[in-house]
Amino acid sequence: MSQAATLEAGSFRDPAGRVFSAGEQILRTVAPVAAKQFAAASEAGVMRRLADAGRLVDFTDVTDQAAAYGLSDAEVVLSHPRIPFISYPYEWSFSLHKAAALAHLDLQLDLLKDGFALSDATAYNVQFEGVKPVFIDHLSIRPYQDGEIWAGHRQFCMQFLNPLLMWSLLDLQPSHWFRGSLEGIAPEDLAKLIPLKKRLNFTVLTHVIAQAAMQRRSVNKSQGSASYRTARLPRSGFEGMLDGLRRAITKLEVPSHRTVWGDYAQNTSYSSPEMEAKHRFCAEMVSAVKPDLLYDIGCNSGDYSLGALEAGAKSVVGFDFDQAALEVAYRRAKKGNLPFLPLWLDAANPSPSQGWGQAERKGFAGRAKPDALLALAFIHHIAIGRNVPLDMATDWIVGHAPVGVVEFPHKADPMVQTLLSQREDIFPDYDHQNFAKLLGERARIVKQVDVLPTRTLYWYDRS
Amino acid sequence: MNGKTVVSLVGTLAMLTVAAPAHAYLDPATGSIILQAVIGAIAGATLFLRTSLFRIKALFVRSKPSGEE
Repeated sequence: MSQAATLEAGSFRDPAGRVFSAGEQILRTVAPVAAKQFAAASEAGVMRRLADAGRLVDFTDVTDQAAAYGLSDAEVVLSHPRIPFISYPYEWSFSLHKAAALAHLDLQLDLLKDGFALSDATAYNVQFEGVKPVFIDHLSIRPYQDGEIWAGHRQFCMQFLNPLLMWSLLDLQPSHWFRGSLEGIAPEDLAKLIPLKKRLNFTVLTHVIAQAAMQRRSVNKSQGSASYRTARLPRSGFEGMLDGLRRAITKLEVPSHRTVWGDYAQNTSYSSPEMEAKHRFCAEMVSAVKPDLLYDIGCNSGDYSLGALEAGAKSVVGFDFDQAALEVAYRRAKKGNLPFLPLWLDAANPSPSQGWGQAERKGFAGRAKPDALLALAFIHHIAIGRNVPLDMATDWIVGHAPVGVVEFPHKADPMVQTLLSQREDIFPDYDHQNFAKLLGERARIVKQVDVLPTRTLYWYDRS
Repeated sequence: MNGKTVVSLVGTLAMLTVAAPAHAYLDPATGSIILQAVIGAIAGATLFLRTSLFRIKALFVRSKPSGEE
């Protein structure tokens, strides 16, 4: 049965269509103005081929039900499956961002072979299923006109290339900047940061330094020096640029991440009785709840996310503050082709609702409805590391999912003592009995276990 | 400095000297457009050479099993 559709606040920039939410379905309308280009892409079968290959979100034509959704004005209505979790570029690890950039370039190159091109290059059009990038904007696909310039070039640089270069050339995480500047990082800004020695590289010199110089020059003269409508880029040049960027981005890596995978492989050959007890406890909760979506808050390299998948969770989104750990988690998800997406999160300052109308990009809270969560070896980081009072920290965790497992490291635990070693203990409320009381006021404690004398796991249920 | 770097240095200099004639309106991506006009040709030629070299190489070198780089 269809229900009335509500507009997604992030979909307004492209007049070709809008995205709506209707129950579990995602709907997309095609406006009359875009009907012709959409029909061309449909008839050529490019969207179907890409969807079948898992590179474009699947779609079904439901135009015959348009009236039932209240979308009668649309030329075409498509229905899409819902992606478990919408993520934004400022939440991606380096590897996720790189995978998204390569997926965008590959899509352009493949579309070009069929006579199509993408009308823009926004990173927000790439989402992830597990860690596999999937393109979500069917209406960006339109017929390619011979000699047209790459309209999305500057956007590609700002949202894909520049963040990746900043990360790999300067070993600087671009997430903070990107989050404050939703259009990405401008070449004019990045150019100022790149030292001379690192400029002697074709990609940097052309796409960053030269582009920045040309941009500044024309802005300073306060007159346009090139017109979008009259400029021409031969197809061979377009393909050459896409191919060159593809090669350059493939080679990028982050210096400080280089050794992480090796260290990880060496250090995880053992499994302690404590870890086994934690796995058992979490698996018991997961197999009882059978969550479609589980959050692993403080996922580290994904040990317990993988455990949750094995115990029957359909998909897991992991969050961590440590980019190196996220890289390991990415590799594990990729290697096993798992429905596990590890993302960057500063729990004390999570992604806000922002952009146009403060609704274009959704904040962390309420973006999805996980059925369960894990928060293992996490709460002390916000309660002691970031001075969040224990009751507020408990509210925050329990608020995200109706059921979950929370680990509470006692004050005597070495992890807590490490945090306290550098500062005065101003946390009289940080106490395991107090935590049990606070949790009990908010939810039913189904079960608890001491995995170590100084660590207690609680299974709560407030449903 | 390798050949590619020299090419890009020359390209950058060329770009700074051949700044296209001014038009009436300012496009926010004007730097990108000028860049494409200049490096489009270089990029196209590079890709052409790369593909040709690959074909010539393929004449002399036995092909590797598929799936390898």
